[in-house]
Amino acid sequence: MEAALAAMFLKRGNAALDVKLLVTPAHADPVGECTTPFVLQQIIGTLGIRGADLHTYAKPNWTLGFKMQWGSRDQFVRAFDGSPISLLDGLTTRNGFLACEEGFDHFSPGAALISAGKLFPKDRANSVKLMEHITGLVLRPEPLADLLQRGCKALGITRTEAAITEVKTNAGEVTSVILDNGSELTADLFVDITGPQATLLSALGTSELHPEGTEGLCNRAWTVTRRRGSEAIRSYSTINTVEPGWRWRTEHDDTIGFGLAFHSDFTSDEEALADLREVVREPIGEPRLQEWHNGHQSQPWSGNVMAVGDAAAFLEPLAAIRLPLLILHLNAFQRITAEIPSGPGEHGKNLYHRMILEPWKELRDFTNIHHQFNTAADSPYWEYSRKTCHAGAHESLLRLFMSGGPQPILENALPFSPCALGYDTWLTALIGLGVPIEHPPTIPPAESQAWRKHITTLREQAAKGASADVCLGAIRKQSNPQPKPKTKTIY
Amino acid sequence: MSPHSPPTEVRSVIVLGGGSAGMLAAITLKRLIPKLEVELIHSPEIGIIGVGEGTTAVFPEYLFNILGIPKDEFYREAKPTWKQGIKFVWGPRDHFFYDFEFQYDQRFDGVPKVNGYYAEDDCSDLSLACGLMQRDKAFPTGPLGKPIIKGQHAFHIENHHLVSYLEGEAKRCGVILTEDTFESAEHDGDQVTSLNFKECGRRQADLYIDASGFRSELIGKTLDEPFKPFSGGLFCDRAVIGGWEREEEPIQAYTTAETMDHGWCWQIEHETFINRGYVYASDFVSDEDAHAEFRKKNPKTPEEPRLLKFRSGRYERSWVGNVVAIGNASGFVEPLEATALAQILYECRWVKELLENSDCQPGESQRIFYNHAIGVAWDEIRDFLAFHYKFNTKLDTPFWQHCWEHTELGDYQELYDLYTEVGPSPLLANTLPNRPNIYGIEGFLAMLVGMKVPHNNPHTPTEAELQQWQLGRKSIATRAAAGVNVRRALDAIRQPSWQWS
Repeated sequence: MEAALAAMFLKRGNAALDVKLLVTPAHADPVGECTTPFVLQQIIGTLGIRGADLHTYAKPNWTLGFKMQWGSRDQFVRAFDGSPISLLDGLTTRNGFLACEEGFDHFSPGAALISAGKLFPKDRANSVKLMEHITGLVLRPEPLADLLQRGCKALGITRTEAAITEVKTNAGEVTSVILDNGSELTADLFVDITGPQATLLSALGTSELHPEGTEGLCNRAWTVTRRRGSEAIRSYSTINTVEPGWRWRTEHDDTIGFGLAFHSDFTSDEEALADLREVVREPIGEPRLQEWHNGHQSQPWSGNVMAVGDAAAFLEPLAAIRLPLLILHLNAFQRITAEIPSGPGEHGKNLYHRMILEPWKELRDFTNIHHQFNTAADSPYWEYSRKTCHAGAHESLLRLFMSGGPQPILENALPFSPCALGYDTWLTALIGLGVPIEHPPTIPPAESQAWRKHITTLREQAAKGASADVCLGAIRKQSNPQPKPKTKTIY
Repeated sequence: MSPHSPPTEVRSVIVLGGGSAGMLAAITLKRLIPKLEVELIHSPEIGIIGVGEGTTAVFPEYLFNILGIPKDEFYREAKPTWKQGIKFVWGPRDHFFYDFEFQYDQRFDGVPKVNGYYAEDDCSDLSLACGLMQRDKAFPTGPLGKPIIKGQHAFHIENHHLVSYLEGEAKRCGVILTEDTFESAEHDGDQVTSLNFKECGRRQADLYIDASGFRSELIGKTLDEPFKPFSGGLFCDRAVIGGWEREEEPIQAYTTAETMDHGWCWQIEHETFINRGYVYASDFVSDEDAHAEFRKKNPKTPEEPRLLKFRSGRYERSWVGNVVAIGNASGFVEPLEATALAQILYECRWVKELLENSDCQPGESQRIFYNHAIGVAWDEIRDFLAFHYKFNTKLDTPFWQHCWEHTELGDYQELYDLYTEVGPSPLLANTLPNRPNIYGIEGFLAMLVGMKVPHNNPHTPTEAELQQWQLGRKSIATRAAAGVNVRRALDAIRQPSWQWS
């Protein structure tokens, strides 16, 4: 899926590029993944895939965000919308401060919908208001890959399905790639999207994986799916803290994907699998073990190989921005090559490295802070993780938040600008995690009352919304209309 | 107090120093955190530096929109004139302008590249401010022919007028002003415990603002904070300052920065006075010869101009214990980009924000952030000025040869390296070492394109593309040509019917 996505982005970005797609046959993990609104916007806006085709062929689900059993609260909701630094009309206290006191799980339309177990608000009696600007997608890799293959074909991208048997190199460049069908591929530029193993980049031997600051994060996961049965589809992804690490759940039409992330120094593969089987008693197929090394490549663009996505940098998937990062990498490539048509030299490639590294560091620190402040479990792993995980480049942001709370001025403490996650995402996470604030403002009673009224309104509106089952049913029907029965005419 | 001691609540503040730094700090704290007791103590024996100053666009914005100072009152009492930017008589062009708008980090409608790729031969009329300055205008006009005094502009202001106005403003907002001569300070580790004055003896406060200028009485002398010189990038260390009463010369809406044999000369435009100063490197020219060059090029300057010695650099930390250094007490660079007042406001703003963030109980987190932010700002100014020196090919003297060869670009070396490969591209913004930063990519592009610094990625536009680009410039030129000059704008705002929006 990622390779087809990348190929389409490259071709869309520069129609003159001769793009060849090499896909190694493998069964993609059916557990799928959830993404952010950015991915949906890019699939429609940049790749030009029609929304109707997306829903017809790829059949994704929508997700409004996360419900997390994490941190010092029993659980909290982190929706993709909501701005803690906004002010309601007439108030002087920012939403974030008010939400810290009460109503955090309802402080935005998305959060209220998640809390109500709904997906979209109703527009009129029999229609829903699609709010796709605040929803991410839950993707099943194979149907999406099929759709993207069609897109590649329409763009004239040739596709080969074969495994790599040898990578030939000379003087810091890949000269050719030998396939198991006997053929040989050459190119001016090889885009390595082979995943964390970075097959092509590794063959050059010019880049190293740097794990800096990731020692406390999980390094493995078991994944498995089960049938949904009659269970309602959730409008969010669920994340639970468990003793070995954390467990996630992704919602598809007829299946539910589960993953259990853990650290191999504290939990054996068998123990972790046993924990997962407690929750998923009747899996479809065999569970899969994913192993990874958290880190970023030191030279993701080396010679004529450019690593993107997981091949360039990887982290445990807590924040669900694997695909957004892939798109950022491709965007960086396009911007650089658009400005330097002859191809970047050393400094252009260094720029690419920086544009990979900064979002990765931001995501690393974001994930680390989640671990640092997760008091929902007290296992040896979690004790270790809390002690080991640090805010890194975002230490100042964290410290100032802990002093004064979600103030707009703290955006100046973000080390990278523009930041990949967005300032609102940072603040929402810090509030949700229950990161303590030493000097919160005194909230005037009238403003607390106005806030309460606002939350109640959102809650009531959300309660009237349509569930994910209803919304998905409607969109599937719309995408695949059944023929109306012929009217019998009697003469 | 160790870093781990609980923070003290700040209720009282003593500001040491009565220049613009001290006054602005006192007003900022008292006006924006009214519960603070703020006293400013200054010595009548220490004069104000007395140069005319150019500011940047943050200055009016801060005064009017953050401190809430009334415009009519300020214009009446502080008597500023306006500045749309700097005219650089610098580099291989005859001159070029640098303003507060976007000239290079923008693209005209209908063309694929940003302006820098088209401006090799002619970099005029890329922004309205640039167009106005080129035509000796100050502001565009509205439908009734009145000047539109809005947007990003700055001031030229005589320091004694400014300080005098600020003194009145300080009193109005409740700052206690005391005249006394500072004698010494006592401290315990990184905490100042008291200040000793000639008349009123021992004075204490929870927080001390060191606005004592180059003397740096508290952060430098008392707390012995290490000083980081900027000698790797900036070689000038002296200035001769003069000026003359304005006669027939028009009041320009820009500061001029003119290349000289051993440095550069500023011209700041006040209503009745033209302020001129020559910044030079004493390693390359004696004071007498610098003065002679200055007089030769500026025959109206007095026989005995003032001589000022300075060192460029900053203290490693500007907030140590219970002392915050603001203005020249924190650091100094030559006024090539009129950064002094902007840096003071930046420092004032962050002290205020961090006091609020901590409910006036600042701890190590606040000090760490402040020192990082202020240090980064000073270093950015250092490196931005370094670009001015590194690439100025206007004159070929030993001083300038030394600059080409030895000026270090510091944290912005990567920006220059990428520029050589990609040209004046917005991609350069991704190499800014700290963001948000003061100048953005625009400032650096203005210097690189303005001085025609070579790169390896030229763009050859089509005829149609070039025509489209020229259309953008023409639109700016037309609007600028209809503008008014400084004199007419001053006359307009002094009309009884004038209303500030």
